[in-house]
Amino acid sequence: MNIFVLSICIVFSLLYSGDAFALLKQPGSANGCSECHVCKTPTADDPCLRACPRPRATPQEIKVGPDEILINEIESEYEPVRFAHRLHAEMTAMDRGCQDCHHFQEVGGITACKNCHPPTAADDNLEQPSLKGAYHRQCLGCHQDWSHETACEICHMKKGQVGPAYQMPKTSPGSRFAGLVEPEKKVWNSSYGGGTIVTLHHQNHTEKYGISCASCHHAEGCGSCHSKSGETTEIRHSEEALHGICNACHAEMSCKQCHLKTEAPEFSHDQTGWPLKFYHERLTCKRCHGNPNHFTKPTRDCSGCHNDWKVGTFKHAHTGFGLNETHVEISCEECHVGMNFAVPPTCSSCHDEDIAYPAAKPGDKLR
Amino acid sequence: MEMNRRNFLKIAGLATAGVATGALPGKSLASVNHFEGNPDRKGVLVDTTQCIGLNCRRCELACAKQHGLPTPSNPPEDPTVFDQPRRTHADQFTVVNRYPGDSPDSPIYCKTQCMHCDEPACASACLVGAFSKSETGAVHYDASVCIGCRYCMVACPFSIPTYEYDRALHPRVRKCTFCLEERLEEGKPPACVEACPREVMTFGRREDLIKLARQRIARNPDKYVDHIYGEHEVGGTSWMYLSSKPFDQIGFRTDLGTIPYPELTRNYLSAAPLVMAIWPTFFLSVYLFTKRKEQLAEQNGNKANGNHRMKEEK
Repeated sequence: MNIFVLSICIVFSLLYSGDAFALLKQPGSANGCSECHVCKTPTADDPCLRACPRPRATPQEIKVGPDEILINEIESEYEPVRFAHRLHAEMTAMDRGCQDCHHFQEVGGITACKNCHPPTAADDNLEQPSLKGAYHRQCLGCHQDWSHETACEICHMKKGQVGPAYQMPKTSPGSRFAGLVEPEKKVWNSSYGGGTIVTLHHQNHTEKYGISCASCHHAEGCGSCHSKSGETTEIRHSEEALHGICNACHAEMSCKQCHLKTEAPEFSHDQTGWPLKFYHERLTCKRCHGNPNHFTKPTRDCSGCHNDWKVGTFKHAHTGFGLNETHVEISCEECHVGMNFAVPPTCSSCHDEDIAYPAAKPGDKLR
Repeated sequence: MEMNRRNFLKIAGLATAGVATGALPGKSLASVNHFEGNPDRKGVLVDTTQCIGLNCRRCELACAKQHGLPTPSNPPEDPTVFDQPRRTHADQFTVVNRYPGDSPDSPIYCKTQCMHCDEPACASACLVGAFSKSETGAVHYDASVCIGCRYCMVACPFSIPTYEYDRALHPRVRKCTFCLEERLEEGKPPACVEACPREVMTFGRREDLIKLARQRIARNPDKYVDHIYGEHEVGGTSWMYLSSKPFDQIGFRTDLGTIPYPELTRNYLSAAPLVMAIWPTFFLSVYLFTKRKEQLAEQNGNKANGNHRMKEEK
C-alpha cells in the first residue's frame, strides 16, 4: 500500500515539476512540441501540425525529379521562373545531393519549397526564411551575376518576354563559380617503403579515360574546382579514402605498380603491345574498353568492334590503304588467308612468287 | 541649536542622502549592473554567412532611399568598392565590407551600422541628452538639442556616429536610426532588413533573436563560431551578428568587454554631486565649529580677565 502511494506521489511530482513533457521531446530537438505543432495545446481533433516535416529527405534518383520547374509565385509582375531542375540536381550530386534544397521530407514524397516557407516572413517563426528569402538563398549563392533593378530578368523574365531557360555562363565576372580548373597531374609522397611517389595523371583520367568527376569527388563544394581565382583548392582525402578511390578500378594492381621511386610517366597504349594509330588514336578508351569504371579487353580481331565491316560495305581506305579498281572487287579471303587480319596479306592465291606484298602493292598507301 | 559632533554627523548624513536621491533619477544607476529595459524591445540578427555582398548591397540602397540620402557612388556591380574597408558616413548610414574567407572564391561580407546598444556610450557622453534609448530598442538622436560637441563620436566603441562637416548651418550628427520614426514605431522592420533578398537579417524581439541564434549555432556547429556578437558586448546591443569566422577577422572589435560603457564612468560621475554637496557642508561645519571654539575661548578669556581685574580692584 505504501509503495502504491509513493509511486503515485512520484508520478504527480514529475508531472507538476513542469518538466514532464521533456520526456516527450525528441532527442536532439531544440523546440520540442512547437517544432511540429503550431498551437500551444494540440488535440487529437486539431493537432495543428506545421506543414513542415522533420525527417531528412532521403536521396532520390535524379531521373525521378522533373526536368524543369516553373516557379510562378509573382505571376502578376513576371513570367514564371524556369528552373532547370535536373541540371541543378546533377550539379548538387557532388555536394549534399537533394538535401541541398529539399531539407526535410514529408510522408510520401519530396516537399515543394512553398509547403514549408510562408509567403512573407512570420513573426512567430523567425527561424524560417520566407519563400522569397528561401529561393534567393538557394539561387543567389551561385548566381551572383545578377545585379540590381535591371538584371532580375536573368531569372525573372518580364511579362511577355519569354526566352530560353537561364544558362549559367561558364566564366562571368559576377558569377561565383567560374570555369573548371583541373590539375594536369597530382603527385603524392607516401610513406610506403617500396617506393614513395604516387602519380595520378588527373587530366588523362577525366579526358581520355572518361572517368566522371563525381565518381571520385563526393561532398565537396562547387568552388573547390570551379575556381574564379584559377587556383584549385587542395582536396584532402584520408589515405584510406584515396586507396578506396583508386582501388575501385585498380584493385588488381600490386602496391609497387603505383608506389614508384620516380614520377610515373603518362600511360602509353604502346605498353600493351597495340600501339594506337590513325583513327584509334582519337578514340576515348571507353569506345573500345566499355565502362570506364571497369575496362574490358577487346579482341584483336577488327570485327570484334567493327561489326558492320562486311563484304560489300567495308571501305578498305579506312585502314589507310586504298585498293585499286581490280583489287576492290575480290573477296577479303583471297589476300587475308583465313580472315586473319593480324598477319600481312599474301598475293600467292592469284599471283606468281615474283609479285609479293609489301614490295608490290594492290593500291595506294594513303598515310 | 548647538553644533556638537552628533549634530554635525546628522546634518552631513541627511545632505548626502538628499543629494543621492535628488541627483540620480529613477533607480539608483550606481547600483544597477545590467540593463533590463523593455523585454519586448526589437533587434536584428545578421547572419553574415548568408550575405553575398557583390552585385547586391541592396541594404545600402534601401537605406539611402528611406532616409533621402544620395545613392552610394559605387554601383553594386563595382567590385573595387570592397578593396578598402569602408566606414559609415554622414551620407551613408550602413556599409557592406568584404573580409577574406576560406578561399578567394568565398569571401565574407559584413554589413555595418549603428549597433543600437542597450546602454549606449553616446547617450552617456552627450552633455545635453540628445541621445536616448527608445523602448523599441533604437538609440534615438535628437538634432534639435545637439550642440555639436561630437563627444558621442569619441565615445562610440563602434565608431559609428558621423558629423556633417560640410554643412555650414546646423550641422548634425548622423547615424543609423533603426528607421525608428519611419518604420519601427509602426512595428515594421527597418528598410535594409526588408530589402535584403536573402533575408540575411532577421527582425524580431531581441530575446527571440538570441534564442534563434543559439538554435542556429547548435544545429550547425561546424558552420558558425559559437558566439553571438552583441549579446553581451558592451552590455548588449540590439543588432547582433553570427559569423563563420572569429569576429576579429570580420571587422569587429573583440576587446570591448561586456561592461556597458556608461558603467565605466558612472561610479565616478555619481560621486561628483556628493563631493559638491558634502565638501561645502563639511568645511562650513569645521569652520563654524572652530569659530565657535574661538568665540567661547574669547568669552571665557574676557570673563577671566574681568574677575582678575575685580580681584585687583578689591
